[in-house]
Amino acid sequence: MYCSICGNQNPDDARFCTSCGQPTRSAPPPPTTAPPPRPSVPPQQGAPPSRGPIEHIPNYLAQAILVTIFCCLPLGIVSIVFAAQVNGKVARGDLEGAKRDSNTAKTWAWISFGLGLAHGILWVIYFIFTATILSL
Amino acid sequence: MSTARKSGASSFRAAYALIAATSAIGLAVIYLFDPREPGTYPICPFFGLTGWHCPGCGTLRALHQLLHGNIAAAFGFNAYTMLALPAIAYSLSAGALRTYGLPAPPRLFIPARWIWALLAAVLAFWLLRNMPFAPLTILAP
Repeated sequence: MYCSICGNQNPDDARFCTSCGQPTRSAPPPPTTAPPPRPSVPPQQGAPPSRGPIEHIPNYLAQAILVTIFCCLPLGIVSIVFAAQVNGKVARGDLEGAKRDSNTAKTWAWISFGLGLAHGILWVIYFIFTATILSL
Repeated sequence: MSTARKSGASSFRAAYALIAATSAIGLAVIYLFDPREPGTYPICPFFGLTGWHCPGCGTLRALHQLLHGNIAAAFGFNAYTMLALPAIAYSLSAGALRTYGLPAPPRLFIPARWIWALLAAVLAFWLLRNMPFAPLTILAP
């Protein structure tokens, strides 16, 4: 990938530009202090960061809970696990990993919604079918 | 880049519109038809296969009671649903407002350990509401 600030070519997994030292992400760094050479400072457990992450990565937790409440329970459990992993990786600064888990969580949310919808539609068809048979 | 971002935003808008439409129709149906009477709603596949109550069991009955103003009865059918509803309502409505560019309440970052705790609580609720003896049967729908 190329540095968005100075244009230097960096390894794809580089977090900071090897030329100018700026973070390799497209979003500008927070204007507080100079970025440390090692970004993976362990998060302060128990004390949530007062400011959210710079770049929002959705974890689809609300959708996961909806799935556990309404349908397809094992899928909802899987979704909660991925939601936890997204936020854990965001807190550790592993944004690439968090994005991967976020996409997985999104996929499971849609699969669950589709299965729930299919279950409902099949039930309606069955309902109409049996009602028609009974009325004959 | 801008077109990709634009199509992403419109698909989010479509998703929220779909969620809103599904919720409105669903809540109207749940208000009108009491899930305690058999035959109106599909049987939960998990309950049908195993005979056990999953953490979501009783949600429709709880929502029916809630929509008719019986909050205690709603908690009796599914306490987890009742506790989760405000959080879901906050998250989805804030997300929808944000997606449509309207003023929205802040995005909350939930630490991962809280989500793991939620997972443990859901699994514990699942186990405990299937116990057939006195203090725990209150958790069953």
